[in-house]
Amino acid sequence: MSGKGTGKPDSPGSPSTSPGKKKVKVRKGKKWVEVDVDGEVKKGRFKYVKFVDDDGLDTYWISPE
Amino acid sequence: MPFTGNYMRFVLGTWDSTWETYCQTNTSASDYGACYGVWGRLYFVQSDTTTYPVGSLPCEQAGNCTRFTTLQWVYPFTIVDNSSVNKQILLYFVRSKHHTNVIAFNCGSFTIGTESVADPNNLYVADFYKGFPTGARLAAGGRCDVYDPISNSVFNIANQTVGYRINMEYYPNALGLKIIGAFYSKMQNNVFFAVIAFIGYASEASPSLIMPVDYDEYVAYNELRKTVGWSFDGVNQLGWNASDIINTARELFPDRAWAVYDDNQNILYLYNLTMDYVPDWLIEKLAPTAMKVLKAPADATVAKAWLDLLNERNAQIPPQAELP
Repeated sequence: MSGKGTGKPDSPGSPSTSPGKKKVKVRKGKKWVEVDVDGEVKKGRFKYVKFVDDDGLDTYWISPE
Repeated sequence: MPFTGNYMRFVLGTWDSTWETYCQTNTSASDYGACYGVWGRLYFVQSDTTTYPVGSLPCEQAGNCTRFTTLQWVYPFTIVDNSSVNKQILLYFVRSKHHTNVIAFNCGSFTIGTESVADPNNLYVADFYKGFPTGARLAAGGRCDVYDPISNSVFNIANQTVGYRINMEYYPNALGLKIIGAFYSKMQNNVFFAVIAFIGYASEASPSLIMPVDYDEYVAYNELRKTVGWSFDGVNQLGWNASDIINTARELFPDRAWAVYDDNQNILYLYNLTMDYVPDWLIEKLAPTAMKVLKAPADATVAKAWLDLLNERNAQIPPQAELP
């Protein structure tokens, strides 16, 4: 699968994005990765964005906002 | 289990270790406010800015003192901003110089503790001093005892001519911690002091299996039983690395709900659980960067049983999660 229309393969840890979905950048390790957001969840005083990570798992990542 | 470590130097003023460092505090003396034998700077406390305007003291003009015009009790500093580990090894060395070597006028105490990044009110102070250094206590006999939990002895921080070192290992009461230190000083005017401290720490990452298990419940695999066989709250069972715990838990508890917290990556893995069943207090405690659902629950009662038991064992931690 190509990533972001560059013709280059996705790098590990970079889920592909699709048009029409809200996109946010989350910080994974030392990199910022753009992901398609399926939803947002608030837990305690933290807010998480939901997306399917490149390992195929439903993932909630702390919101960059 | 990766180790991380660091050390920091904390300084409030400096002094010469061989010269008889001294400041003139007799207000009748012609050299009042002058400091001698200083290497660097001392701290000089004089709150009367009418009689002694800021910048008027000889030591201020000579640049070998820093003037305090307010009397403080506590001079806090941060050692580590955020440490999501269960086990801390601390080492510190502290040395101080005060108004006199006999602590009749000013006294310092030194402490290291932790506070939760998520909740600054969740404060934990390692028991380094024997009782809180209140003014009355310091004034009574000039005592300023610091408790050394390793040697089970008490020393006076200000009487040390070569400094004092403490090695200790302790388990903080929460994850996501800021490690803090503070120098306590008696609120006394017209005194001088300096404090220097070296603090080293090492932290061991310790992933946890979060699953309430009863003491008498059969748990296969001796290693796992030793590790997660039982804990008071069902949360603080430490283990090997996160992937080993996940693989073993998948094999042993395929039909139970459990979570694994990888404190190295700050990821909380959920098995037979969804976000809806993770209580807010657990999120506050762990402050995970991410959560990943390894397996959604086919039967909601399994997830609810996990939540109910976890809440029950941690009933002292409000609020609880709201179920959908």
